[in-house]
Amino acid sequence: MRGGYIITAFVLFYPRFVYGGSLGLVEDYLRNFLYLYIIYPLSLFIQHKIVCFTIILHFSSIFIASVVQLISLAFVLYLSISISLSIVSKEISCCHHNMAVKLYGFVGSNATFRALASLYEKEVEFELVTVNMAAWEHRRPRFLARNPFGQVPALEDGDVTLFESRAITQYIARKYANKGTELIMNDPLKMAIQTVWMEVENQKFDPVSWKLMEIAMHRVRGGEEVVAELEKKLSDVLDVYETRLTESKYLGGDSFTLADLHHIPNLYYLMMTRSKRLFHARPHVRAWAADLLSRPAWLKVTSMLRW
Amino acid sequence: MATPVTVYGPPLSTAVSRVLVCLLEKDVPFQLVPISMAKGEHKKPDYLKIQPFGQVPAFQDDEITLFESRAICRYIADKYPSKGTMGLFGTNPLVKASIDQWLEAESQSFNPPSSILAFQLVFAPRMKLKQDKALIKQNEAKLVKVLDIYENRLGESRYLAGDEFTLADLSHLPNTQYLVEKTNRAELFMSRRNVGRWWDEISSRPSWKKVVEMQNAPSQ
Repeated sequence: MRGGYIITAFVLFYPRFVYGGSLGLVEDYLRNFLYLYIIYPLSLFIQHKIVCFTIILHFSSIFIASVVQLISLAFVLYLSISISLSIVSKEISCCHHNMAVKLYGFVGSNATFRALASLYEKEVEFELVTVNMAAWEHRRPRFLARNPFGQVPALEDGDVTLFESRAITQYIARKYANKGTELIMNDPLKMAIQTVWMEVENQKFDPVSWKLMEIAMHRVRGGEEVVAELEKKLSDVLDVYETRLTESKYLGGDSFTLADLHHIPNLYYLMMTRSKRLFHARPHVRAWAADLLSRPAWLKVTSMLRW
Repeated sequence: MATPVTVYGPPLSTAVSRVLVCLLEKDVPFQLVPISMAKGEHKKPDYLKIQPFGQVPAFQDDEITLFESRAICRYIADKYPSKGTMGLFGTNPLVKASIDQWLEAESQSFNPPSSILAFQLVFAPRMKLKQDKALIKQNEAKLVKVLDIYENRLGESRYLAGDEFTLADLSHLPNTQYLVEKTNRAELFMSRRNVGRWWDEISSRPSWKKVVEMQNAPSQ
């Protein structure tokens, strides 16, 4: 009798101590199955009905518990995989393919980022179609049909094809005026002021900030003298911005508009270089830059860099 | 409009002439206030109040003060949709998008090399500055690539944004005028059939001829 208990106890607890964890579950499952067909006859041999009954009950419960554990483990794995997959696909293609709005570009291109920022601000569902620059895809006829200048990005919205990131942002801002953030002023006079500062970004901020960025990223050679000259030009522009931002909350007016948005990609990269001190030296510019870079729509754009 | 609008700056400036041709296209009366760059009038505090970068042009009407020539042109085109040449900035969003696209192409791709070439070939000699041969060569190469693209485009449509004359074409007038008429690089444009045809059409518009007259008038 006591021998029977000892054998039973050994058989019950040995796998738990040795294996544990999920492997133990599988082991348990197999062992339970075997034990039901070995121990039961054994217990009959021991001829103690209560012992038999408790042993069978115990093994059955282990068996059921293991099966339930396996099923729930599988379910949790399935859930976490599908949730992370849908988050991934939502970030890049927002739901499914064959969206009406397609942006052809690549993550890391400032101009593509500019267009992406406007799409996220306006909460427009779109698909990003990556153009393989390394394979010279942007110079092949199929892409040149979308942008004869062979540059990214290009937008496709149903029948409409557009290139130039600043034309794309304006198109998106107008077409989806009722969705998301208002990026274009409604009032004609306010719109005119906004347009002035959009041109300032285009003509004054972009050329110098772009060159500084290219030098900092070692895409273009530029010695100390060249950098100093460019930083002087940028400082002159930022001086005007500093004054403007004392009179107006944002560059284009009292609310965030494309006049601010167009700056963000170059600003983002410059803030990672030593040129950031030019922005930090001017309190209103500094606050404005921090505001722009912390916008949720922009954070969605930069999170794509991590894929 | 009781008072005519005011434009500040010399007509010889490419940016100023861009605004002037737009006002003429829209039949909007204006007065031109000369700003002598030589005398540094563009850097005086009074002027800096209306143009904080100290550049020309600046624009004033009874409602607003503006700067940046392409912003001024868009304002004029939108404010007077039924006056003068219609559809300069599009009558519907799709056309507007196409115009924006070619306006941006002008800003980003055509303007930089053509400006540098115009400065080096026309203004530098006038100002007795030494020409930078390497810079000229580099920018000519860039401009050639852009004009090849224009050649294709203008084979598909009469004007850049479509079959109507728009701000996208207008914006090209100032720099091209200098390169075609005041340098020996006219063949960059005229050797290309479609570009040549397009230039002939847009430069012979009465509005542009009037601006050229203003530019050639005896110095103020």
